[in-house]
Amino acid sequence: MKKFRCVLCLLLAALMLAACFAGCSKKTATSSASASSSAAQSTAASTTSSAAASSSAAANPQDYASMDTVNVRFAQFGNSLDDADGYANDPIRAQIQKDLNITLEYDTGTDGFDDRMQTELYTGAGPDLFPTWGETDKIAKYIEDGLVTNIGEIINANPDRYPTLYKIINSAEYKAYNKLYTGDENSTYAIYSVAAFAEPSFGGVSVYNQSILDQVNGGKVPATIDEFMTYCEAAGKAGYVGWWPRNNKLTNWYEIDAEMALPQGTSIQAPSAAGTGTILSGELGTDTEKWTITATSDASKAVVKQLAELYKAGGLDANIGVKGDFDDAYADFGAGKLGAVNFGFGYPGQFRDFYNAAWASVKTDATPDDLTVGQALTSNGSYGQIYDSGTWINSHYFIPTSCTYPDRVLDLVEYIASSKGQDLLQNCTDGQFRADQGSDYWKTVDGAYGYGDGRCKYCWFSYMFSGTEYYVDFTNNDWWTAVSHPTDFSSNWATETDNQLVQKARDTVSAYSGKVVVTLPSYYNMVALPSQATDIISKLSDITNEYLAQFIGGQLDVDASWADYVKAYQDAGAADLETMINEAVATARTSYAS
Amino acid sequence: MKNAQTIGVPVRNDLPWYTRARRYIRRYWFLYLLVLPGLAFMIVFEYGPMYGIQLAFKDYHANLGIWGSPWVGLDNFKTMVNDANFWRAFKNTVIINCYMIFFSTVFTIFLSLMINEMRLKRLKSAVQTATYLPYFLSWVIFSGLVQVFLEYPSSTGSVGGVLNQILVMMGREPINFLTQPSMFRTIVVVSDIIKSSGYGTIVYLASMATINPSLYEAAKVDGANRGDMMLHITLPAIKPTIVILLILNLAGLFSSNFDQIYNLYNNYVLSTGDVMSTYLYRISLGGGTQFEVSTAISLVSQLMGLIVVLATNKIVSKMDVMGIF
Amino acid sequence: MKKQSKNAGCRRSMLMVCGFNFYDVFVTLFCVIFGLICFYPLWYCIVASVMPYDEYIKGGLMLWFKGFDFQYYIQIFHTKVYTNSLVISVLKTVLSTALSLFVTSTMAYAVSKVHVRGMRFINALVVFNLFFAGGLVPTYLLYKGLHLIGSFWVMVLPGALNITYFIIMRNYFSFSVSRDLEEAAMIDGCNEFGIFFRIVMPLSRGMIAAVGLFIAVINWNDYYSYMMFISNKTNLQPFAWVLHRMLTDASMMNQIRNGAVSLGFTLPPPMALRMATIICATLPIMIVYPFIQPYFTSGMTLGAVKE
Repeated sequence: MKKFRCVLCLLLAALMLAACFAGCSKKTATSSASASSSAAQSTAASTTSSAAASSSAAANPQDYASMDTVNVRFAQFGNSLDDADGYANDPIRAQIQKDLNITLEYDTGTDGFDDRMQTELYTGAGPDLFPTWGETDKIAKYIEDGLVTNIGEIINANPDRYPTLYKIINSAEYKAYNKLYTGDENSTYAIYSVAAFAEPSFGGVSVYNQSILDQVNGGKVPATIDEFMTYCEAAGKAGYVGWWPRNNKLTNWYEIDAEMALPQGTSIQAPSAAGTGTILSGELGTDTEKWTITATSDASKAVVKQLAELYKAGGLDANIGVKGDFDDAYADFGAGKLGAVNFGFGYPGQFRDFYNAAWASVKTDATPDDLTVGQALTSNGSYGQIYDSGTWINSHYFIPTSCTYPDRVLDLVEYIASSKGQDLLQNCTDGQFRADQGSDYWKTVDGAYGYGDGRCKYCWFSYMFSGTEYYVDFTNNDWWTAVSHPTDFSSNWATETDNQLVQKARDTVSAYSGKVVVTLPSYYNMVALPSQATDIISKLSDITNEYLAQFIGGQLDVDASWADYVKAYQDAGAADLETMINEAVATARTSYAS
Repeated sequence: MKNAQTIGVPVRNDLPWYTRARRYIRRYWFLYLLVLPGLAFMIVFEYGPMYGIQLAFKDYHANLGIWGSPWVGLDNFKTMVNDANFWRAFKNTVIINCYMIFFSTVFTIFLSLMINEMRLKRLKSAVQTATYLPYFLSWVIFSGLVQVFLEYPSSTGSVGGVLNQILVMMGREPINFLTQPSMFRTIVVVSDIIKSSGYGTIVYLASMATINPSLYEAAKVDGANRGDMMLHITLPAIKPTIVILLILNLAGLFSSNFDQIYNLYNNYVLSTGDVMSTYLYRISLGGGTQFEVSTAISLVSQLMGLIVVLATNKIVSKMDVMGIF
Repeated sequence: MKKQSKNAGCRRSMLMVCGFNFYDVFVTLFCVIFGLICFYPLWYCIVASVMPYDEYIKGGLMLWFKGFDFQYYIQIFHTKVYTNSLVISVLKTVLSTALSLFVTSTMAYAVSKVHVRGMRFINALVVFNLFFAGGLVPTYLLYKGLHLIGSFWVMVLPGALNITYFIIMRNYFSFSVSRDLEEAAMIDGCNEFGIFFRIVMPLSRGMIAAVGLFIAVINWNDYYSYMMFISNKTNLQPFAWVLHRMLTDASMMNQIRNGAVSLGFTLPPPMALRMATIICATLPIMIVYPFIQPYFTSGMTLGAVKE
C-alpha cells in the first residue's frame, strides 16, 4: 500500500510539472512570435535572407534540384480538398513540384476562411502564401505589425532568379499601387491580382425562361423599365414569379440596382466608391466631375416603391432575402417557377454555366433556345450607366514573415507568372495532357477540387495575377497590359453546346454593353479613400440592407418611413463620405492623370 | 478508538502546523489526487488564455504580442457604446433569452410532469424517444427545417411550407412568417422549445423516478387525486433540480445561440432578431481585426452574466437549496 | 375527520368504468401530440429523401411515402469523405467523452467534499471560469505552443473539463451519499479511496451514463475546433463539419452532385440531397441511443435526498 502511494505521489508531481511547462511554453510562443516578427522587420534580417537567396542565386538560379526540398503551403479560399484521390493524383501539382523541387500543400476553407487566416496570420501560424481581399488600411496594418514579407527586396536583389517578377514589380503602374498601399513606390509587399473585363459584360442582365415569356408577354423580351414591370406583374398573375435578382439574401444590391435603378438615373445601393452607389454629374476627366450619393434621393424612393409594388404583385419573388441565390433560386428556375433570373456578374461564360447547372441538369430535353438572354433596360429612351475602369485590384497575395524560405515561395510565384506556368494552368503542358484526356480534362482536375464548371483553368493558381482566371501573358507585355487583356482559352476545349451558349450571350450583351458601360479614366484605379471612410461605408451598407429589405417586403411603408432612412444616412456620415470620395478622385486626377 | 477520533476532527489541533498538514494530506490524499486531472486541464486550457482579456483595453499589434500592445483604456468600449445597433442587439438578446428561459423551463417542467403521469408504458417510452430526437440535430439542420416548414409560396403555382399549406387548406391567406419582425422572437422560442424540451425532460424525469412511492400511497389513502399528487408531491421534489438548471440557464442570459439565430434571421427581422453574437459577427465581417472590440463585448456580457447569477444564487440559498457555489 | 375518498360510495367514477378518466386522456393526448410535433421534422426528411424527383417538386405535407428512390443515399455513401469523417467523429467522440467524464466526475466528487480544505477555493475557480474566458487569439497561441494546431488532439483535449456538468455532478455527489453513510463506512474501515470506488461509483452509474450521453452529443456536433484550428487536413474532418458544409457550402454540395453525375444519375436537387444528409447524420445517434436508454431510468438526482 505504501508503494502504491509513492507511485501516486510521483504521478502527482509529474502532473504538476507538466501543468507548469504547459503554461511556460505558451509564454515562450508569444515572445518568440514577437521576436521573430520584429526581427523580420529590421533590415538586418531581410538582408540576411536576401543574401542567402542571392548566394544560392549566384550558384545557379535555375538549378532547383540542387536546393533542399521545402514544403510550400498555399491557401486559397473557395476550393475544397475533399477528393483525396484527386488531390494525390493532380498532374499539375505534380508538375510544379517536380519543376521546382518543392512539395506543394494546398490549404483551403470556405466557412470561416477569413477569420482563420486573420487569426493564423496574427499568431504566426499562417501558410506560406495566401490571398486576402485587402482594404488599404488592413494591408497597412499587416505591414506595420511586421506580419508580411517585403518581397520587393528579395526580387530586386535577384533579377536573374525572378526575371518576370522583376519586370512586373518595376513597372510604373505596379509602383503606383505600391505607393498607394505603403507610401513608398519601391516597397512591394504583395502580388496584386487584377481583375479585368475580358469582354463586354455587366451585371444588370437577366436570363428569361422563353416559354414563360411566350405565355405572359407574347414572347417579347422586355426592353424598357415599364415593359419589364408589366412582364413581371403578368407573370405573377399567371402563377409564376417574374424575377429573381441576384441578391445574396438582400445584402447585395448591385444587380437590382443595375437593372431597375440605373436606367432611371439613380442608384439605390449603398455607396462605397466613385461609381458604386454614386452617380456622376459633370464631365468625366475634368475638374467638373462630381459624384453624388443618391441612395436616399427622391428618384431612389420612386424605384424602391416600384420594387415594393412588384413584390406585392408576385413580380419579385416573395422569398427574396430568405432563400439563397444559387441553390434555391436555380432550383426554382429549373422547376419552371421563375421567369427571370440574374445569371451572374454578366460574363458570357456564366450564362453557359447557368444553363448547365440550372436548366440542362434537370431537363432531359433542354436546348439552348429555351433560355433567352435579356436586354439592358431603358427608361425614357436612355440606358443606365455603369462606370467601370475596366480593371480593379481583386486580391493581394502575401508571404507571411513566419515563412522561413520566402525565396523558394517566390520561385513558385515566378513560375506561375512565366509563360511555362501560365501554359500549364490554362493550356496544359506541351499538349501532353489534353491529348490524353480530351476536353473533359479540366472537369477531372478541377472537379477533384470542388469546381466542375468546365472552364479551362487550374483552380488553385488561376486567380494569382488575374482575377478573371484567364491566361495572362507577361512575356510579351508589361504588367498592366497583360492583366487588363487576359485571354480565355476555354472555347478551344469546350463542347459545341457550350460554345454556342457563350456566343449567344456574347452577341446579345455586346449589342448594348457599349451604351451601358462607361469606361473610367485610368487614374480612377488610384483613388484611395481615407480609413474613416471604411467605417462609414459599412454603416451605410448595414442601414441600406435593413431599410430596403423592409421597404420592399412591406414591413415598412415607403412614404411613411423614407424620412427615417434619410436621417439614418445623414447621421451615419453620408455627406462626409461624399466629400471624401470627391476629394480622393480629385487627388488621383491631379497626381496620376498622365 | 482511533477511527472514532478521526471522524469528528480530521487532525488533532494541538500538533505543530507541519505535522497537522502532513497528517491532513495523508488523510485526504485520495481526494487531492482526484482533483488533479481536472485542475490541470482547467489551468492549462481555461486559465492559460485568460490573460487575453486585457485585449479589451488594448490596441492589438501582432508584432508586440498581447502583453506588449499599448493600452487604450476604454476606447474599445466607446466604439461599442456609441453604436445604436449595439444597444438594439443587447436589448434583443436579453428579451429573447428571458422569453426562452421562462417558456422553455415552464414547458419542460410541464412536459415532464405530463410524461410522468402517463400510464401506458409503451406509448410513454415511444413519446419520450420522439421528443428526444430533435435535440440531436444541430441548429444548422433544424433552422433549415424550420425554414422549409415556414416557407412562403413564392408563386400561386407553388405550395410553400407545411404551415402555409395548412393555412390555405383552412381557407386563409398564407403568411410570410420569416420576414415578419413581430413573429421572429416567437419562432425562435418555439423552435427552441421543440428542439430541446424533450431532452430537458430527462433530468426532471430522473429526479421524479427517485421519489419514494410510499409517499404516493399515503396520499392516495388520504384522498388525494392525481392532480393533487402531482402538485404537492412531484413538483416540490424536483424543486432543487429546477433551481439549479434555472441558474445555469441564467448564466447565459447575455450570450446567445449564434447558430440558431444566424440561420434563421435575415434583413427583414433585424429590429427584433439581431442579437449580440450576430451583431458581432456582422461588424467583424466589415473588415479589419476586431479582436479588441469582440473581447470587450464578451467581457461585458460575461460580467453581467456573473452579476445575475450571483444575485440569483443569493436568493436561492435563502430558500435552502443548493446553488451554484 | 378523514376525508372520504371519492370512490368510497356506490357512485362509479369513470376511472372504475373505463380504467381511465379525463385526466389520463388529457395527459396522454398532450404528450402524444407533442411527440408527433417533435417527430414530424425527421419524418419529413425521411419521406422527402426517398421520394422521386417529380413527386418532390410538387411539395406537399409529406405525410406518407410517394415512392422509393434511394439515389441520394447512394450518392452520399459514394463520397469517400463521408465514411472517413464518420470514423474520425466516432473516434473523437469516444475519446473526448471518456476523457471528459473521467476528468469532470473525479473533480466533481472531490470538490463536493466541502469540508476538506481547499475544495471551496477550487470550486470557486471552476465556477469563475463559467463566466470568463480568454478569447480566440490567446487560445490560438496556447494551442500553437502545445503543438495542437493541425493535430487530431485539438478536437479532444481542450474541452475536457465541462463546467456545466461539473456543477450538476458536484451537486449530485453532495446529496447522493450522505455524511452518515460515509461515517458508517469509515467506522467499518473504509477510507476515502474505498468509499469512492465501492460505494459512490456503483450508485452513480445512471447519472454518469446520462451525463456521458449529453457530453457525447456535444462532442459529436462540434465542428468549431476543426474549423478554426485544423482546417487543411481533410482526413481529419469530423462528420459534423462535413454535414455543416453539405448544408451551407455550395462547393461541397457540388462535389456530391458532380459525383452523382459521374455515377450516372442526373444532377440531384440540393434540397433533397440535404434531407438525405440529415437522415445520415441522425442515423449514428439513433443506433447508439437504445443502448444508453436503460441507464436513464436508474435515476439521476439533482438534490433530492435519497432516503
